[in-house]
Amino acid sequence: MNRKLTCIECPRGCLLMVEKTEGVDREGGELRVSGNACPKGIDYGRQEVLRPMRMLTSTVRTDDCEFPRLPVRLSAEIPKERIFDCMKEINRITVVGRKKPGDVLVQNIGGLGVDLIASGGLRNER
Amino acid sequence: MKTEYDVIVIGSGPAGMAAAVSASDAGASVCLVEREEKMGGILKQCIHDGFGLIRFEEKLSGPEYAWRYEQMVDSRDIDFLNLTFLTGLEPPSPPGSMEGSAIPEKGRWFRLNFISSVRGVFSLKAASIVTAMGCRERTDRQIFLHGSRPAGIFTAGQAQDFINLKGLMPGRRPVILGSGDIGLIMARRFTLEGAKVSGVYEIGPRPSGLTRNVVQCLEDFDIPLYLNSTVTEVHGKDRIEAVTVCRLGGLGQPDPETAELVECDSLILSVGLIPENDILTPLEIEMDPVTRGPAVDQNMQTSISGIYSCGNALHVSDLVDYVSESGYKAGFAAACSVHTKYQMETELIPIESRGNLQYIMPQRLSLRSSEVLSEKAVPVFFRPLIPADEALLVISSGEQEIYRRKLRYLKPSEMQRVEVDFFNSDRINEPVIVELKTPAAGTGNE
Ligand SMILES: Cc1cc2nc3c(=O)[nH]c(=O)nc-3n(C[C@H](O)[C@H](O)[C@H](O)COP(=O)(O)OP(=O)(O)OC[C@H]3O[C@@H](n4cnc5c(N)ncnc54)[C@H](O)[C@@H]3O)c2cc1C
Ligand code: SF4
Repeated sequence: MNRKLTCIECPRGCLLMVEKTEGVDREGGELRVSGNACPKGIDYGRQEVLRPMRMLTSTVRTDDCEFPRLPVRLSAEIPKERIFDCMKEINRITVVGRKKPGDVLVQNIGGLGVDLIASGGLRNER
Repeated sequence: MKTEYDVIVIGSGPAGMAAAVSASDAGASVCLVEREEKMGGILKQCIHDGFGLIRFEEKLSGPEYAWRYEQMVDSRDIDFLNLTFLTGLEPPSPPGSMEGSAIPEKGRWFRLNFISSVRGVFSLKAASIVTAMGCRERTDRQIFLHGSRPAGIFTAGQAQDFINLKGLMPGRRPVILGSGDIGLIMARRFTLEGAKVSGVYEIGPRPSGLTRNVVQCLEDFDIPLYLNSTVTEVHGKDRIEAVTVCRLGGLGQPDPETAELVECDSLILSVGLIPENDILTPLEIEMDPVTRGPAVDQNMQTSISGIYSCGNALHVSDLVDYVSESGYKAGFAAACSVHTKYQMETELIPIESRGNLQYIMPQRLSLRSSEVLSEKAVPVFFRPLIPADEALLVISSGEQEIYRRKLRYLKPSEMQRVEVDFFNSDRINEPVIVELKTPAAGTGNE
């Protein structure tokens, strides 16, 4: 199995080719990365094929009619394929009361081992 | 509340907040004016992360970045006027006609006219002004688009405001026209909220947004990007139902042979940003025709002494860190200009661009200010015209070479910043020439 992807670790944007040899298990590391102009590309290519991780940011409903949404984020990146599961959880929530960036809204959201935290303020009157 | 300030800052986005903080720290009395309810500017709706890598060495979301600056403003003696719109700006009357200026040693007063939902119509006086009004989006009227005008056409920023601040979906099957960063980010945002993005259509040969956004906003979600393609017609009576898309033919015109109908319920435009400077038009401030912001010196002072410009109103940036940096500089210089005798009208050296450069900012160098403000290296910003894998940046004045550096992998979508020490070498007497030499047009590795 081969995959082409663009390295985004620096502005050069190398076009990487990641080749996976038959019969090697997921974590085996038998991945050949080519097209990279520096070693960072190898790590990036491996990570993207084995276990791509992403940050997720979104908003949640509030009970404040003037500011009906509060921006939120995760405390750390999660596996890419869990993004939509996580969105489902996020869209179930309504926050009430005063919030500031960093406040934990849901611990261990969706059992992913990361927290959902506020990334903006709500009712932080001046 | 006072009616006279050393420095009045217009706009409380990241540029204006930084300007207010630095002007206050430099000892000026400061008023920060904002037409919206809260500080933060456009950052309030930019909920994605990636802000502040340089300034805070962290990947913050837009609201988090704004919040940090809001804390800095709040903890200082800065008057914040919200829900207040600047409607006019009157320069000081010429020295002769001044009937005994209030505080002569402070120079002359600008008069600023405002309208506010709380205080009605009123005006304030300021010794210097920092304009930080941000930018606005180009709309369908400014790009050439045939067809009727049904509902469902939004700019990417409007869509961002609807979804992220109001919690409303502008459409379920959007087509995105233009591949600017906001458009790419909104493609992902629509998808996360369950919409199906039919595609992103870009008229140019390469995406205008950052590669990172192409990868993480489009490729991650299998959203197709069509280059050299554009929307030529909008269909639908009351609500948009479909668009016609065409590929560009040999002459760079849409080729009707390639016309294709794409069903959609909304069209999202991400076709560029324009610095917001209408308020300066009557003053006939010198503008840079490329950046569409004022031409400034290294302290962000415009052609009118006492008026400074920063942030996206000065030139559209892709990194908020640079926006804040320009705010700091503008605020500091605005404060210093009140308390010192520093005047910029004298000894301005123009900075000119040559070679593969779209523009260069600052557009001139003020020599006198460097003595007063004891400046060291000056940040110089530019964008290349075309991608270049390798380039040589040479800055000179007359016979004197001031700076030389090899640069790699330049793209028009990524603004460049270099620091140049103009004041270490011999005194500069002739125009500064900035040249970006590219051996052969690079591919940018696309
Ligand atoms: C719709 C949109 C979306 C963007 N999204 C992104 C993004 O996702 N990522 C990114 O890196 N960059 C984004 N940008 C670029 C972003 O604008 C900059 O990174 C940065 O926020 C600009 O800061 P600023 O302070 O110059 O302007 P702004 O943040 O735009 O702040 C300008 C402020 O001035 C106020 N103002 C304007 N005129 C007046 C007046 N006459 N009187 C009183 N107040 C006034 C406005 O209300 C606003 O609060 C976006 C820009 C736009 C227009
Ligand atoms: S492989 Fe190295 S040089 Fe190429 S894009 Fe990645 S980090 Fe940059």
